[in-house]
Amino acid sequence: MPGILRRILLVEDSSADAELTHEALLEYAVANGVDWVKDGAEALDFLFCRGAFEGRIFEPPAVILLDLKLPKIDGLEVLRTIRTTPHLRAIPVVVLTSSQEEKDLIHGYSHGANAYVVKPVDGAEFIKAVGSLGVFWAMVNAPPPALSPEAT
Amino acid sequence: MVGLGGITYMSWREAQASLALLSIGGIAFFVARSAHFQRTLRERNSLLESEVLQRTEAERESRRLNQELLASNQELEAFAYSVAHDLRAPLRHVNGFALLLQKEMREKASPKALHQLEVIQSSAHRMGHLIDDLLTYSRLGRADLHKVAVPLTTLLEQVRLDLTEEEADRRVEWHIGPLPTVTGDPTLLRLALQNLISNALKFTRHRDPAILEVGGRPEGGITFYIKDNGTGFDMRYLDKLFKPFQRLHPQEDYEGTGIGLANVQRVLARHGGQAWAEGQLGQGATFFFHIPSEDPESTPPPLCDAPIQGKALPCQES
Repeated sequence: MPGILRRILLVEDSSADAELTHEALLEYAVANGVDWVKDGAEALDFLFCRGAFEGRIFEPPAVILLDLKLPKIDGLEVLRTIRTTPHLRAIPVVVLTSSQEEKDLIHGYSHGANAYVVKPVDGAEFIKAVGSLGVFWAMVNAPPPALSPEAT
Repeated sequence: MVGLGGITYMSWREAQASLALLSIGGIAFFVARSAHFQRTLRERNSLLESEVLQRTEAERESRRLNQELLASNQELEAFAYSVAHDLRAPLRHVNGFALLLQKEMREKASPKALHQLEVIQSSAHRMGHLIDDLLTYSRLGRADLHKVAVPLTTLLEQVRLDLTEEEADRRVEWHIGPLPTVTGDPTLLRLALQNLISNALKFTRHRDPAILEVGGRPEGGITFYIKDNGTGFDMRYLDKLFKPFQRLHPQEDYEGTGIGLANVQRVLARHGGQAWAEGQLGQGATFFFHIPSEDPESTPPPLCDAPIQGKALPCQES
């Protein structure tokens, strides 16, 4: 889809990780622009254009980068809500987490994550991982056609 | 007492009296003895009863302690895992921001400042490896075992292929004897073999050629060994060899975090077996492991995850 680049939604409670993610996307020339929310509740408010995001015009993100361990509503719950909401369910979601626990991997995929990326502990590797997944999901991948909340 | 008859008569009477006395004494004696026996029996019985009671009590106590130990071990594992896990995030920030700062300052900072940034990054990098190793070690202790028949020869070939590809420019002489099939978790066993073989290759780095001998013997299961002609080690430090993060060589000489052999030991412990080693400084080393057979008739070997003291032997022999 040529034309306007869809934005990336980053759901991340650590501001340091959010800053590193920004830097990584900059470094890899991902020019989509990032919306950053800090917990699961805020992420759902953003996606449903309610609460603090009341009046926002809905635009599906190119990809949602979703941390799992989040305050208020955790990442899996956010993912489950996205996958059971008609106008949101097709949006690519990449789980971006520190957890290498097998049960988190299983739950991540069974709840419908499109990819599961363990945040590398090494700074350079983190930038490489996040940068290249930004390039793929925001620039290479063709996103699903946008559905408006009213249409469904 | 005159005459034979008299004697006989007296004797008869005397005999009768004696017999009577004897009988009384005898009965008394037997009664006494029987009472004594009964008393002893009662005492013994009650002693036995209290011993049985004590033993039951002790068994119950030992079962309770075992359960407590198991629970606290699991708790400790979970704690180690969560600590290691939670350390990753701040470490990523140290490392990541040092990298960003270095990029930012590349043109402006002095060579000394850039060097210091370099040190921060490489130390954080190393700590990252330590943490990841700790997580692996912890996972090995908790992972579910999926036991199948594992032909060691095939597993060894796969591992050897992976590892020798990186060492193509070296001369390595392999002597591989026949190896049996064992019942075990292939992922865990592969990790153990990987560690043992990469160690053998690492510590023969300065030998030309490196000579590695691999073999196995059936000994109530299987005893596997890998012998090298490498750097070897001083037997005085044997007890350190299989402990996590213990190293016998400086980082500059041989890289590594010191988790490899601890992982090997843990894999073997999970299979009811054990790993041990023999060596001599400058003369090479031999690493062994034993996996007991899965015969349901045989008594299960004790779990030996404990650090080894001195020349360690498989558990079931000690």
